[in-house]
Amino acid sequence: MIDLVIVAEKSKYSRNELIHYFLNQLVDTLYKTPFIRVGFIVYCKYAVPLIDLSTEYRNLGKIYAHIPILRGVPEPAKALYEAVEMLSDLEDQVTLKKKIVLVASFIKEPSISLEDALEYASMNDTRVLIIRAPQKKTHWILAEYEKTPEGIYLRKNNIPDIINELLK
Amino acid sequence: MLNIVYVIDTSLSMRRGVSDLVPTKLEAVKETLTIVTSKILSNNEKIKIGGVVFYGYAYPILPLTNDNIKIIKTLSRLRILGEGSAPGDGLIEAVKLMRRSAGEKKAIIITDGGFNKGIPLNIAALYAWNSRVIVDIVAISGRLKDVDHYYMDKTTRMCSGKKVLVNKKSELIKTLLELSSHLGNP
Repeated sequence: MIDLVIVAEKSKYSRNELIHYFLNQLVDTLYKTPFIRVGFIVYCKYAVPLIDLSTEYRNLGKIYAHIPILRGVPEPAKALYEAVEMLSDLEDQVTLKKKIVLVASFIKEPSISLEDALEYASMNDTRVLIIRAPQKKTHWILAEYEKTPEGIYLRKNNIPDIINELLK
Repeated sequence: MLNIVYVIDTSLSMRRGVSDLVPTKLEAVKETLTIVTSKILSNNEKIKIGGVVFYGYAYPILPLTNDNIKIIKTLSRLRILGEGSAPGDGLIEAVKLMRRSAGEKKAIIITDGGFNKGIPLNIAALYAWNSRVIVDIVAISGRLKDVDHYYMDKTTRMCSGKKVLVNKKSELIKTLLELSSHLGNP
């Protein structure tokens, strides 16, 4: 069983419609893939778990659309810690792989270190795939981004590739 | 199995008394919960109780248990924790506490309102709803604002629960006994 937590930003800095489209495409593919449990967290200043790891995640896209744009400076690290906690809490004998997909704008510099959170996830045997979906270009992430070669820009035309990468 | 988590407001405003909820609202809640939990545990073996506190932050204080001594000890340690009121964070902690538990799940929020921090209650309610957790709210009247009612109504509607306003100790006991003994609206 692959345990996957999807962590998506919903802020005025992120491309929320594109993220919504991506989530719908992802859920459609995941539903055709056996042995996957999915959890879902939305974040901005706060990280809000919305679906615990389960096979009932069909409405994930709808839930993302339903949530209003959250206020404050996005803190992706907070959401990552929440995702690692969810994966650890619900890990059982059938868990084979633990993965997190983090969709973030990275426009505003957060106060909690993303690097430390990524390290923490890695120490918990969890692979993190970072996807960037900013409203505009930004530079603060570059140093972190270079250390995280899995980071990908989200575009409509590369969504199938991202999903393939995720399911590897 | 029925799992109940009490989500208790420990913000500064709970330091004041109102009506016969004295010397403070929090002391009255502690006293009432001690009576209520003892009673429901003696009537039902298939029940587990947990606890979460919230003010500007929220955290668990009691993992799910049916050990009444542990529950009473935890309740006796409850105190005012600080400024702010983040019931949404409290609700999320409550749902997390029941994450691995089988059976029916219910969170009962006890508050006097003034919500001004953290995750909005109606967004936290989505997590409770997705996790099939019923959410009841016992609201101590006196300083509740329209916006508090808006969040409480949205939450209880979404999560098949009830909002009950109380102003006296007898109402508090009756309400908590009732809500803790039944699962809520179908």
